[in-house]
Amino acid sequence: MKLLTALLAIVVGVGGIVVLFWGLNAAVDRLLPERWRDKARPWVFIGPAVLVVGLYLLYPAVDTIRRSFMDARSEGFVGLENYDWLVTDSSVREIVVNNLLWILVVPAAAVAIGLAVAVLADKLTARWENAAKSLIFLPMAISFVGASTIWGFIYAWRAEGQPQIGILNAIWTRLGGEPIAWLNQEAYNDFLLMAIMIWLQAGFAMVLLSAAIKNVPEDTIEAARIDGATEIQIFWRVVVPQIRSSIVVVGTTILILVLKVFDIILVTTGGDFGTDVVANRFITELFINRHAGRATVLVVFLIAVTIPFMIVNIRRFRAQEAER
Amino acid sequence: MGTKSKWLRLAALTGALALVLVACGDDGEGGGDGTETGGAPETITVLHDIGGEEEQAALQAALDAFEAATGHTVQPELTDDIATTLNIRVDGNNPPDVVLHPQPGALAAFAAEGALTPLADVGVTDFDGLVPGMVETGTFDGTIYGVVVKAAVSSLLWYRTDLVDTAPTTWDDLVALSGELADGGTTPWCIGIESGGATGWVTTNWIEDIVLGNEGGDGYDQWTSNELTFSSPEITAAFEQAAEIFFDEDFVVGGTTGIVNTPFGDAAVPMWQDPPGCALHRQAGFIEGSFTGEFGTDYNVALNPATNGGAVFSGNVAAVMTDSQAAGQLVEFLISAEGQEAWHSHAGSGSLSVRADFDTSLYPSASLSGQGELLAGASVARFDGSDLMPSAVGGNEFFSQLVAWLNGQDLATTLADIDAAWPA
Repeated sequence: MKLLTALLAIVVGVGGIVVLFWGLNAAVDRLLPERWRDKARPWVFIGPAVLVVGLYLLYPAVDTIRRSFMDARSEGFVGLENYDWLVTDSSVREIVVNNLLWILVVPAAAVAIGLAVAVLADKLTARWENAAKSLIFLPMAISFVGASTIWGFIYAWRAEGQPQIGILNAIWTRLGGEPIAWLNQEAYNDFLLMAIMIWLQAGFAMVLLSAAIKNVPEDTIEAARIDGATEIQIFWRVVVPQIRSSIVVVGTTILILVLKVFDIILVTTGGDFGTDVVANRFITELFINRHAGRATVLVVFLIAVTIPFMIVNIRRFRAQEAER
Repeated sequence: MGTKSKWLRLAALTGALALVLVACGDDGEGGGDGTETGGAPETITVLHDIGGEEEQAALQAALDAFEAATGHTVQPELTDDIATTLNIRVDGNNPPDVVLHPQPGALAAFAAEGALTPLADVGVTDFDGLVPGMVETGTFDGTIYGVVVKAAVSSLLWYRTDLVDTAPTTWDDLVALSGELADGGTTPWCIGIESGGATGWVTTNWIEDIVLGNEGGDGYDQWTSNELTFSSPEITAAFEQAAEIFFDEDFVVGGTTGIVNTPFGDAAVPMWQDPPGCALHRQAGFIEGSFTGEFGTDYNVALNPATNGGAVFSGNVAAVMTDSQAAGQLVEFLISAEGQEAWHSHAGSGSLSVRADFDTSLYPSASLSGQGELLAGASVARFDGSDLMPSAVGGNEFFSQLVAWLNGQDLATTLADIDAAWPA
C-alpha cells in the first residue's frame, strides 16, 4: 500500500508539474493578446519556482528579522533589546570570536591542502593521481555527524592505566605521556574541531582546484620553464594567478559552510569548553531556552556576515564562467 | 492533438486515483475532540522519552491493560529529544494528547502558555494513595496539570560490599570513608558525567542531594523556584561541600578530567575490574544494568548520605495537552493501582511505582524492592531539581557551568552565570 502510494506520488508529482506548465503555456496562448505572449511566457514559466522560493525562503527570512525585534515568545515588541544582548553578553562575544577563528582558519587550510594535493597529484601518472585524489575526496561522502563521531573517538580520553581507546592518546601514552583530554583544553580545542571540517572539505577544494589547474594553458608554463623559472616560481607566479577565481570561489563556498557549522560542535563537545559557535547557540536558544528573540538575532547576525561573501562568490563565479 | 489529449486523460486519471487513495488511506488520527466519558473508542497519542527495550515493554504492558479495559487505542511515540520534539509539536499546533515528560519545569512553561489542560477538566480528580510529592510536582500556579506516573530514586549510593561494611549515614562519615579507602589503596569514587550535549547533568544530582540534605524540603523548594539563588550562602556552601569529593585528586578515578570525560553509562566500569578500580558510585537505579556483580552479595545500595534521609527522585510526569476525555481516562488509569501494577511489576522494568500502597515485593528484582522501600521510607522526597527549573537553567546552564567549574572555572563566576540564566 505504501509502495503504491509512493509510486503514485512520483507519477502525480512529475505528471502534475508537466500538466501545470502545459496548462500555463496554453493559458498564455489562449488568453493573452499576440503581442504580450512572448513577454509574458518567461514570467509564467518561472512564476511557480519564484513563488516557492518566495514562500519557503524569503518569507521566513523576513519573519526571522521581524522576530529579532520581539521578545522570547515573539509576542511583544522589544526594540533593540536582543541586539543589545548580542553585543554586550560575554558568552556571545566568546562565541563570535570562535566563529571568527573558524572563518580565518578553515577555508585557508582547506584550500591550501586542496591546492597542494591538486598540484602534487597532477605530477603523478594517471592511475596514482586518481588513487590519491580519491583518498582525499573520500571524507566528503561522510556526514558531518558521522565525521564528528569518528573524530570524537580519535580524541577520546580514558584515565591513566585504563586502555586508551582514542588513537591520539594511544600514541601519546606509548610515547610516554599521560593521557590528555584533548577536547577539554581550551587553548587549542577549537583547532582540533576545525581539523574535522578541514578533513571533510579539503577534498572538495582539491577537486575544483585540480580542474582549474588543468585548465591553465600548458604554453604559459612551458614559456616560464624556458625562461628559467623553478617549479616553485612557476607555481606561485604562473599557475596561481591564473586560477585565482577558482580559489576565491572555493574559499568562499567553504567559508559559507563554516558559518553554518553546528553539528560538529554539538556532537563532540555540545558547546562546552569554550568551543561554542553561533549556529549551535542558535539551536540552544530556540529549542532549549525557548527564546525566539535571541535565537533570531543570532540568525540575523549570521545572514549579515554571510552576505558580503556571497556577493564576492557570485561575482567571481560569473567572471569565471565568462572566461570559459 | 492526439498525444496531448492522451496525456490529459492520463493526468486526470492519476489525479482521480490520488484523491481516492487519500480519502480511504491509512488509519486516520483520532483524538483531539472531546467526547463523553467512555464514549466511542478513540485513538490517544502519547509522546514520551522512555527508551530501552525493557522499559518500553513495561510501558506497553500498562497501555495494553488500558486498551483492554476501555476499548480506546493508544499510539505511543518515542523520542530521544523530547524538549525539541514537543516544542515543535506545540508550536505547530499538533500537540500529542498525553505527554510523559521528564522535566516538570518545562511543563510549567507550557502550562503558563495555556498549552496544558488542567487534569480536573478531563476527569482526573482522584489522587489518593500516591506518595507525597507526586501530585505537587505536577501542580503549577495552584492548578493540577500533571502527575508523576513513573519514578526512580536518584539519590542512591552503590557500594561494593567487600570494601564497605556498612553504608555511611552522614556526609562527614562518607568523606571519612573515602579517606579510609584512599589510604587503603583503592580510589574510592567512580564519577562520570559525559553525555554529549547534556554533559554535566550527573553533577546536578550531586548538588541536589546536598541541598536537600542541608536545607530540607522547604529550602529545596525555595532553591528550585529561585527564591534561594545559586549565589546565596546556602547553595554556595552546597557546591563547596561537593568540592570536597570532586576536587580531591585521590578520591576520584581520573580526577576532575575523569569526571568530565567519562560517559555516565560507563562510569561504573572500574568498580567491576579486578582489582576494583573504585568502591562507591552515586547514581540512579539504571546504572545497575552495567554492574557485573550480584546484588546483595557483591554490592548493595543505600540512600546517599548527603540527603540526610531524604530522597531526590526523577521520573515522568503525565500531562494532557488536548481536551480529549479519553486522554484523561488514560492518565487516571496510569496512576491507579491496576495501571501501576501492570507497568512497574513488568519483568525487566527498572522504575518504581508512585503509589504508597504498592506492594514492593511485586518489583521484578530484589534491588528494585530495596529501592522502593527507600523511596517509601524517605523522610522527605523531592523531584530532581534541574528538571523543576526552567529549561534555560535546568536543561542547559546548570549543566554547562558545572562542567566549566570542574574544568577550572572559579566557583563565584559559575554560580553567577547560572543565576544570570534564569528567565526574567
